[in-house]
Amino acid sequence: MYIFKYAYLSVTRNKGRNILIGLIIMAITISACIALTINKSGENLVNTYINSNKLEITFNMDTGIYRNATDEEKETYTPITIEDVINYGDSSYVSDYYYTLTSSLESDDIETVSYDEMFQMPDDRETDSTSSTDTSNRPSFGGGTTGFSFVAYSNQGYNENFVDGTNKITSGEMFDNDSTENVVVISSDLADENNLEVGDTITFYSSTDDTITYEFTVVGIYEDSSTIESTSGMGQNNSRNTIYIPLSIAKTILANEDDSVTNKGLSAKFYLNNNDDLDAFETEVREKGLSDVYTVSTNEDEITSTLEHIKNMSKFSKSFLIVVLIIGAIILSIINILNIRERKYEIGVSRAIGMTKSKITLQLVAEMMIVSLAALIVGTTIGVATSQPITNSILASEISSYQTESTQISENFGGKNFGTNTQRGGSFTKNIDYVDSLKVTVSAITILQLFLISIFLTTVSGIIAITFINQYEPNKILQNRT
Amino acid sequence: MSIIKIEELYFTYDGSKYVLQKINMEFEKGITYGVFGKSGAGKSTLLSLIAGLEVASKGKISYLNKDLSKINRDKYRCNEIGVIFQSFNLLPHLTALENVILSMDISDLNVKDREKKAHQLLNKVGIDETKASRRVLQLSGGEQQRVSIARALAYDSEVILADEPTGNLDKDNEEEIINLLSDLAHKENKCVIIISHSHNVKEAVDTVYYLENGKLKESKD
Repeated sequence: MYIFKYAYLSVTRNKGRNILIGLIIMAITISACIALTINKSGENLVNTYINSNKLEITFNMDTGIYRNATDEEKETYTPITIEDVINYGDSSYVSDYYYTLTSSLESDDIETVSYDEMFQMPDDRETDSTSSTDTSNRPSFGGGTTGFSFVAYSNQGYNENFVDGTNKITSGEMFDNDSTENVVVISSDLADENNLEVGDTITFYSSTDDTITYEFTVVGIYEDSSTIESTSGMGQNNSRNTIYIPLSIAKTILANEDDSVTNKGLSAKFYLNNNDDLDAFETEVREKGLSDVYTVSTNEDEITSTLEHIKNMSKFSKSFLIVVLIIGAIILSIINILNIRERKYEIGVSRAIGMTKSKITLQLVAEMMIVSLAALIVGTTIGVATSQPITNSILASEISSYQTESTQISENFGGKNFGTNTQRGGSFTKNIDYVDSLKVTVSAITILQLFLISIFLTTVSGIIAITFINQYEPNKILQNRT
Repeated sequence: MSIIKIEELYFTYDGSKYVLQKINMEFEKGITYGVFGKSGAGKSTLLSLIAGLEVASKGKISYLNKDLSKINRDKYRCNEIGVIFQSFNLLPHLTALENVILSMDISDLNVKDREKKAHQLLNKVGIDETKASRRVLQLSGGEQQRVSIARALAYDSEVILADEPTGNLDKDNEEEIINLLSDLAHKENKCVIIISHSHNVKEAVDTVYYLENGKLKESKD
C-alpha cells in the first residue's frame, strides 16, 4: 500500500516533529513497562506464595448481621453442626478438612497453672512458702479448679502446636485419632503443678452439672515452649491448661452440655484442591445450607503478610500505570492536535489532488504507528533494563517504611515487642520477615500489554485525526494559504 | 462535443450572497480557455467548482454528461482532471519525482513503471533527473510550477485546470508555462482552462471568458 510508503517518508523527513512524539511515547512506554513489570512480578510472587500455601477456609459468624437481624431472622440462622462440617467437607473442591471440639470441665483433684507459676523464677520454685521473695506485685490470675480447656482434633495431624514444634511430647505419647478411651495429654507445667505423671488418673466434672463426672488417664505430657507474651494468661486461655482428649470423648462431653455450649465449641477448617475454587466452594456450601450470618474467611492475609509491601507495590504500580496512561494520552492528544493543525496545508493539498479522508487518516495513523513501534522497542528495552534496579529501590524503601513503623510501635510500648504486625487490622504473634527481593521479568504478556497500550495511544491519535480532517475543506485550506 | 458543461450555475458560500450567478459555459478538448476578471469576480470559485472542490448551490456542472454533484468527486479529482495552482501546492517533504508519483498512486492509473513515467513527464516540462530527486522547496518557483504541471498530467487527465499558473513567475518562465499549456491542448488534445489576470495568457488562449461580479459578461473566440 502506497499509504505506508508515504507515511514512512513523512516520518523520516520530518525528524524533529517525530522525535518529539517518539520521546513522549518512549517515556510513556518506559513508565508503563516498569509499572507493568513490577505489577505482574509482584502478583506472580503473591499468587505463587498463596498457591504454595493452601488457604485455610473458616466460617465465622458475622456479629453485625446477627445484631441487626430481627428475632424472626435470628431463628433462621442455624448454627453449624458436626454433621454440617462433614457435609461441607464432602465436596469435590475440598482436598482435606478438620474440626476441633473445645469444652471445659472442672476438677477438685487438680488446679490450673496460674501466671504466678509461670512468672516464678527457678530460685523461687526451690524456696518454700515462707521465702522472703516478694511476689505480691506480680499479676495473680488463674490458679483455680476451673479453666481447663479440653481440645479434641478430628485429625491430630492438624494440631498446629505440635506441627510447628511449640508443643512436644516429653513423656508418654499422643493417643490415636480414633481412640475411644478416656485419656488425656496434658502440659508439663500442669503436670508439675499437680504432681502428675503418665498413668495417673484425674477426675473432672461438668461445669453445668457436677453430677456428671469423667475419669481420665494421663497418657502423655507435653512441653509447651510458647512464650508468655503469646499466651493470654488467665485460666482457660493459658495454653498450659489445654488438655488434649480424643474426639469421641469430646463429643460425649458436649452431648451432655446444652446446645449453646455444644455449638460454641465447634471450629472447622477446610483446604481446597485449588485456591481459585474458593467462590465455587462458597456457592456449594451456601446451597448445602450455610446460613448468611456466616462469612467465609480465609487466612490469605496472614499467608501474604510477609508480602504486604510487595502487594502495596503492585497496587501502586497499577495506579501509577493508569495515571501515566491518562497523562500520556492527554499530552499525545494535544501534540497530535497541534501536529494536524500544522499539517493542515499538507492535508489540503492531498485532498485537492483526490486523496480520500480515510486514506489521509490511515496515513497519519500509520505514521503514528511507525513512531510508536520505534519508541516501543527502545522504551521496552530501557524499561526492562531499569525495572530491576527501580524495583529494588522501591522495595528497600517500602521495607524501611514498614520497619520504621514497627519500631515506632515497639517504642510506644516502651521498647517491648509484642510482635504486632504493622498491617492494619492484623495482629499476629510472630515478627514479619519481609521478602526483600523481587525478581522482575518481562513476560510476553507484558510486551503484549505494552503493544496494546501503543495501539490505544495510536487509536486516540487516529480519532483526533479523523475528527480534525473531517472539519477540513481542501478549498478553504488552500485559499487561506494563498 | 463539450467535455465540461456549466448550466445556470449559482454559487454562494454563506447562503445569502451569490458569488457566481447564472453561469453557462461549455469546454471542449483541444482548446485553451482563459477566464479573466478582477479580483473577487469569482474566477477561483468557478475553478473550484469545476475541480469538484465545491458543489454548485443551484444549476449543474457536468463532466462527460455526468453531474458532478452526483459522482465521487475524490475519484473525479484524482482521475479525470489535473489542477495546477498558483502557489503550486506541492508536498514540501517529498521530492519533485515523489510528488508526481504520489498523484499516480492516488489515481486508478495502471502503469507498471511509475518512476519512469514520472521522469518522462518531468523531462517534458523541463525538469531533469537531478532536479527531480530534489525536495520541491529546493527548486525555484518556475521549476515548482513545472513539477505542478507534471503532477497534473500524471494520470493522463483530459482536463487541465490552472489557477493563476504564471502568477508567481517571471516573464521568461511565464512564457514557457503558457507554451506548455498551449501544447497540451493543441498537441495532446486536452481541454485546458486557465484562470488568470495575465495579458500574455489572454493573448495565448483560444477562448476568453470575462467574469464581473460573479456574472459572465462576454466571450471572445
